[in-house]
Amino acid sequence: MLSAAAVNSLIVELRSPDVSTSRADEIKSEIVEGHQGLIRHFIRLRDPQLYEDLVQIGTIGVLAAIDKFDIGRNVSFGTFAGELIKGELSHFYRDDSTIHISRSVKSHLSQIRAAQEAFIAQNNCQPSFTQLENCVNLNRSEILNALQANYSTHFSSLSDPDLHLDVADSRNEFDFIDEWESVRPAIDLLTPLDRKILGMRFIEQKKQSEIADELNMNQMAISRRLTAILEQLRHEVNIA
Amino acid sequence: MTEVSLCVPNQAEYLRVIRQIAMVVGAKADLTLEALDEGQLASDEAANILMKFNQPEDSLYFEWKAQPGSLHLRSRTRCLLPVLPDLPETLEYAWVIISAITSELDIFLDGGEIHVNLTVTSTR
Repeated sequence: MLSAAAVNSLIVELRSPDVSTSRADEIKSEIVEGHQGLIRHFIRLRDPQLYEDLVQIGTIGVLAAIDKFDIGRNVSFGTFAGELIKGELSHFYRDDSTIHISRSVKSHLSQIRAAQEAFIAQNNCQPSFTQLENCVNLNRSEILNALQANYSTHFSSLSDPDLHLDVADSRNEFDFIDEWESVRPAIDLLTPLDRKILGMRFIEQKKQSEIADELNMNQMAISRRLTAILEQLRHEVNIA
Repeated sequence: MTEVSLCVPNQAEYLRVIRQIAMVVGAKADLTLEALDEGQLASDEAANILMKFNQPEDSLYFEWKAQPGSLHLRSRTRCLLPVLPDLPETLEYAWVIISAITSELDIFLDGGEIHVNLTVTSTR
């Protein structure tokens, strides 16, 4: 990554009236190249199948930062660019129809999750569907629609704290997953968090709720990620 | 007790329907959310197993049954193999997954058809 001083110097040169077009392009490329690590940082826990697309989206964020960055302000280019990369990624996820969930369904999911957690806290066990139905002000169809949307959603929102979990690389911990020859390329692309969840659920045979407790996530988030992981693996098998 | 039967073409786009029925019948069985999820996954995996052994023109047959706390699935399709291969080795990761999420699992050949019968149970 370029130092803050080096980026500032390049931006000053870029904005000088006598910079040639080719030099301007070179400078932009140098700054974008110097921030690939930052882009990767923001997309590291997202769907590996979209990796190239997400790098492009992150690059748009860096280019926007080059145009808008105010050298006079007491903030580094990296910090400023990070905000714009996050903004571009948010924009992408909001607009992508395959992951769009209506506001009402999001609200229902939130009610269901809160009711589930409250029930567990009070009774120390998972609620059955009927018990959950009695705890939320939603009818059966609304609950089923919301759950279906949860399982169909591969991505968490950028503000989802689950995305920011610091999970050590589980590569060594679950080495034997590599023996699944047919899906090895997909396994290799999994994030450390997804690899850990996969290993905990299917190798250690822990329940989703136990994994949720250990990783400080909620059961519905684990369910969502497991669904996405298994779809990735199946996709790998189907294209092989 | 709720029972639902379904016959679909041997095409992956019907997996969504299979998952949705599994969820609705699972709700009738009063499963926990976790078991509802696993009932869907198990139905999905069962369909994928059937699709490995049949021909493109074959149909897939499913019957779900809800009992308090349990979701049962009986599924079948035509199978051209005279004998099933070693399933853990052939199905690899899919075997690990379906074994982990079901409380009962039975895969067998009968009358020229492969059957995948399974049960998902709520554990609280």
